[in-house]
Amino acid sequence: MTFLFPAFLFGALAAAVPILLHFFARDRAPRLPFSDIRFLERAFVRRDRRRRLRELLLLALRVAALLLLAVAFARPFLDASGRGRRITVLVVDRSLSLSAPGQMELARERAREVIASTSPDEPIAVVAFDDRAAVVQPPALGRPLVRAALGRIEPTTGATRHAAGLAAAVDVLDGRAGRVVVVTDLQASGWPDDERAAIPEGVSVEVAAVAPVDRNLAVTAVGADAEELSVTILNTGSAPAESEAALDVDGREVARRPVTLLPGGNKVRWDLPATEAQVATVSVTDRYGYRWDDTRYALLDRATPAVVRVVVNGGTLDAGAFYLAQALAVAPASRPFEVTPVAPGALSASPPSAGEAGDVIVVTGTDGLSRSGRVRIAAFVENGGGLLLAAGPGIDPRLVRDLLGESVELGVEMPVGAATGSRSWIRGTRCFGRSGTSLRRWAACDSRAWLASSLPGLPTSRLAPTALRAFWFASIRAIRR
Amino acid sequence: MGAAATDRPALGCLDPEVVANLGSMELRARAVVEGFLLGLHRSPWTGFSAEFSEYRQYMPGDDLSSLDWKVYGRSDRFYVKRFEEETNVDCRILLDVSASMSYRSGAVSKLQYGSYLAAALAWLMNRQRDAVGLLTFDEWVVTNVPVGARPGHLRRILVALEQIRIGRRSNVSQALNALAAAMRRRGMVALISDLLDDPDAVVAGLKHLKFRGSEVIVFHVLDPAELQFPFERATRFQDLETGREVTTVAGEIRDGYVREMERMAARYGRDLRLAGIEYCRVQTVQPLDGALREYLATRSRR
Repeated sequence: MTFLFPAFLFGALAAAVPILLHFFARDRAPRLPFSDIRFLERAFVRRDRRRRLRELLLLALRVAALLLLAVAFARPFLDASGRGRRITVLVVDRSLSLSAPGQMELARERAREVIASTSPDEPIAVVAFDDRAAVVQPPALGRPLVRAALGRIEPTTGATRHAAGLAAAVDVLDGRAGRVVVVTDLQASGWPDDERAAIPEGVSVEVAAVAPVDRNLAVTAVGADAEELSVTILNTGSAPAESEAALDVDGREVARRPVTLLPGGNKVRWDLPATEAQVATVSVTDRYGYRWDDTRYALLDRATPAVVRVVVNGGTLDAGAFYLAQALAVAPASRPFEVTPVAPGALSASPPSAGEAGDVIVVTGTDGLSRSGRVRIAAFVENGGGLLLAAGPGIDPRLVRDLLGESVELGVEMPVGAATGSRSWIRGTRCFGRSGTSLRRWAACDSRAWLASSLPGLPTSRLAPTALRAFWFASIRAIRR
Repeated sequence: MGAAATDRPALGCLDPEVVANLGSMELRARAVVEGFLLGLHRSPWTGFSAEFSEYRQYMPGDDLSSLDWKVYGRSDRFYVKRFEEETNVDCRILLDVSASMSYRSGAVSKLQYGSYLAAALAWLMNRQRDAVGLLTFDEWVVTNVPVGARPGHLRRILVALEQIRIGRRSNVSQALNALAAAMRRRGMVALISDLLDDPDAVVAGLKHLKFRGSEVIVFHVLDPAELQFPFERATRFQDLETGREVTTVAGEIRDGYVREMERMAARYGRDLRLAGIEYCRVQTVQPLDGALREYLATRSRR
């Protein structure tokens, strides 16, 4: 019998308390002078025998109660490990190589054979290992316990390391004699050159081999370009295998077809659907081999963010383009926006790259915008980049004319019946496209006009996939010229 | 009278606690005796004697020989002539002063009670013109006041009783044998003791005295706690004479102890009566008249 919490056994020392009380509490009886104690002694001798017996019984009960209490707290249990006897340790391989259909069951069958051949009075322990080891069942005589422990072992994705399993087995043996039976498919990679295992004297090591998988299908490579997906499927068997390959795009199966896989590598191609899909998953049905290598994934890489450079006075987002950045952040688009603030003066020093599909420059300020900067913006637009000119207080119309050239027309509409003669309104300013055909000319403005309008966004055909919708400017301050 | 229980109501002056509060032994003896005599209604001292005492009208049942015919001749009435009894009996009072006599559970110890009883007896005996002597003892004789009948002799006895000191272990039989060897005349012996000694030896000693012709009366003085043992809890009982100790749970041994005490007292009563010795058991809370009454009954038989 052993104890779960042996520290509680120190509580048995409390049994000394009633014993001490029994022997020392008598002295605390008060002294009383009496005329003659002869009769007391006579009565005492007769009564005291019974009383002493009763006291001793009571003392024994008290001591026993305390001892039992201490033992109960220590949680005793019967050790069925058969300590001191020869032990058999089953070391069962659960590495990835055992994940093939039927392989783990084969391993369990080998282990059961070992159990059946072991003497009933010989305890058996079970250790499972891959690249690490764990004691699944400590030494026990009960065979049902051992078999149940075997049933709990499942293959993992770990590599095979026989040394780890052997080391755990040696720990279980704890210096006792016995035998270690390794149930494994004997993967060659399970014994790296630099790895050693020490087996103590009196311990024998046996191997219960599980036949390795003789054929396996594995998706070994997936390559994707804009329109096509190229997949390599490996057949490790010696005969052609009939199987089925499937293509999932973003979690949805888009194609499935039977394939005949010759021994060695096999190429399979699929046309990619014209969508904005992100992930392609290719899988092959493998009825005999490992399931962990039957699937492979590919990123289609179609979701590069649209770069929005905000030319803003001061060069920081919080200065003038904060609301623009916030609106773009929540805009419902299939591609994200990458908003970068740029000071007008810095545009010439670090010019934007040539316009790419979806890239936009938003000009909200022109303070310090040099000539070379304007030339670079124009080149950006000419190369396909989008340009949004926010007719706000930071815009210098002369620079805009210079920027857009004479071929660009800007229209100014005066609100009917609105405002006084000294004020004019500019509204409906739209996007500026590659050729400027959709733009309206911004004619010479009254020098003291108020600018107040909403800007509907960047609905150009070029930017259709990443259209800036619901782009809205509010609170445009008036400028007075 | 085997026990000292009395059917007479206790008089206040005979209560041991009241007596203990009186100033001197002489006063105590006088109070006890006078109080006792007041309750008797008739004089205990009348009898056959040369000393005339009184006339009393004849009552049916009186001895006709005591009729005074001369008075009848003169007055034509029947009168009985009474005389004071004159004796010359040697009375010896033996008082146990051993350490066990110092035990008390109430206001009066056994030794105090015994000394009051001895003083009252001495007073009574002296008044009866008997010669009185006092002998106190533990394992040896401690004090010996010889027998005497002179008026000053009583005072000597009372002073001796006043000066009693607690002795050591008791040996009643040794004192009795010493007394028996020293007695020249037959007389009366009153032993006042708790008799916590070897009963066989005590009875043998008393028989020795009886054999020498003395009338013997034994006052077995006990404390109520010695009889009832009213203790309950675990106690270390220390013997007053030997100093030995017994630790026991008193409540558990009470029955056995009381049984032993009763057995001892019953044995004394049986053995002493068989030997013709008067045995009177008194408790220190009982009035003293019971003991005196016992004495008078014994005295009248002489």
